[in-house]
Amino acid sequence: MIRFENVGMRYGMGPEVLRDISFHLRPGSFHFLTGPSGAGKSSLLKLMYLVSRPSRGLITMFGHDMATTPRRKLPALRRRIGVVFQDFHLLDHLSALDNVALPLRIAGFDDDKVVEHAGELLKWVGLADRLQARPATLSGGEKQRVAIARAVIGRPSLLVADEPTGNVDPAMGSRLMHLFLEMNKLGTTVVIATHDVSLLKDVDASVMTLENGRLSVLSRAS
Amino acid sequence: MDWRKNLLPDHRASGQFLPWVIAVMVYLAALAASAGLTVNKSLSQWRDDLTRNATVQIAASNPKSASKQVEAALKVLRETDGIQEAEALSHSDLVALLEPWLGSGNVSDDLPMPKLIEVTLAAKPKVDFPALEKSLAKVAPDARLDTHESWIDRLITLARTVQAIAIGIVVLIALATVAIVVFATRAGLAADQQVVEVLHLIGGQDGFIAGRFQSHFLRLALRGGFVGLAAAAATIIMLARFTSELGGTFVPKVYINPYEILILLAVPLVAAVTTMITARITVMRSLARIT
Repeated sequence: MIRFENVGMRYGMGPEVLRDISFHLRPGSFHFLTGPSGAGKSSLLKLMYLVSRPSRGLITMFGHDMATTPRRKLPALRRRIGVVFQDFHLLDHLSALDNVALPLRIAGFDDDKVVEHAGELLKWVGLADRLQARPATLSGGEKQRVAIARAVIGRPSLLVADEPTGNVDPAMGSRLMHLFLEMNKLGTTVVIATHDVSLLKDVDASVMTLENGRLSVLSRAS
Repeated sequence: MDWRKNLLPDHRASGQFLPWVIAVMVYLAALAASAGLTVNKSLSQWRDDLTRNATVQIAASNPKSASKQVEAALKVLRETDGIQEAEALSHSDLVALLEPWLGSGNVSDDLPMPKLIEVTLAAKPKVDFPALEKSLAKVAPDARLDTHESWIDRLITLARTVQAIAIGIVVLIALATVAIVVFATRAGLAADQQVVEVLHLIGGQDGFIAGRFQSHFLRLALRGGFVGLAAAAATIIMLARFTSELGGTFVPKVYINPYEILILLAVPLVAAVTTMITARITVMRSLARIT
């Protein structure tokens, strides 16, 4: 489903931040991505959620060779990917409900059903009383839950999360991990970049470790 | 309420001034168009007036000879096909013609003045002016036929020049509007970078994202355009009253007929559509640069 072969990436004329990255993520698999700060985790995630292109190597996403896929087809592929950003990327002028509803609205779903679904999802992440709140009035943890709800509302084929439990208390972190596992059981491939080693202990998943731009270790988490 | 309308933040620096800019542009374009239309109508009126009239001037030094030549010329003129009427102007008519330049009561009786015959031409048949000139020369050797041709040519040249300038002004206004909209759209894209980025990331098509900007700019342009048109209409009404009070044949009377009202109504619509298309192309080009 997702295949990287000898992928390298650099920003502009700078040095390579990712070198010779090769891996294959099967549909419905669960992965952690770890590594020290600056190891290239965010760059690798950017390649996965299709906002960057590799400077070399081959990336295949959902059966599409990204080197030959025309730009106009990328939005449809992006709709199959849910992303939880480290800095949330919520739209400040929209309510929590509207932020969560956005992916389905853009995909053209019926608005009444979208609103209902977004509301249910926000209730599930403990934000039932914050549906109309603007992101500026939410705490870091609340924003993170809104961002996660937005990422999963479209039942993506691939869920990419950058430090998704970094701003929430352990109980909520556990609840969110449970959500990711539920998504995974429904067939979503999950990739979570994290520094939180406690997450790794509780989940049966492969662990990809990045060091100095190289994917050095591929192991099982538990 | 349609969720798409709220997708871009309300208060953005790029959009605040745009309606006023569009209002000024539409105001100027509507006045330029109105000027072009007025000159066009005046040209038709002047042409009609001048081509339906001719003048015979007899500048004989001997008054008796002049009067005889006038009588003879009138006879020839009245017998000529295509001439509806021929009347000699009286001395008091000539004095009245000179008074605007020399002042009332300043035209002395001994001032040498030519005799003038005012000729009104029929619509058909056309007068054979070379033959008429020859006939006049036989009976009135001092007669000079003036068909106003040189005036008509000059007026047509003047009118065409004014129209070309009016069209040039409208084109320049359109180009300036496009340039301003490009800058405003780029400023809007920069201000709403986060929104564009998120829409892009969650699978928004370029056309969808551009659509949000084009709708926003269309609304702003329509708002500004009709304010500009209202201001232009007020100015045109004021000028129409002013020129109507002035009277006279050669001062162009500003008035707008229903057909021209449609043209002027089209000015803000064209400005709005130009703004919308410019905004769309600008956004599409900017988005094409990102992955």
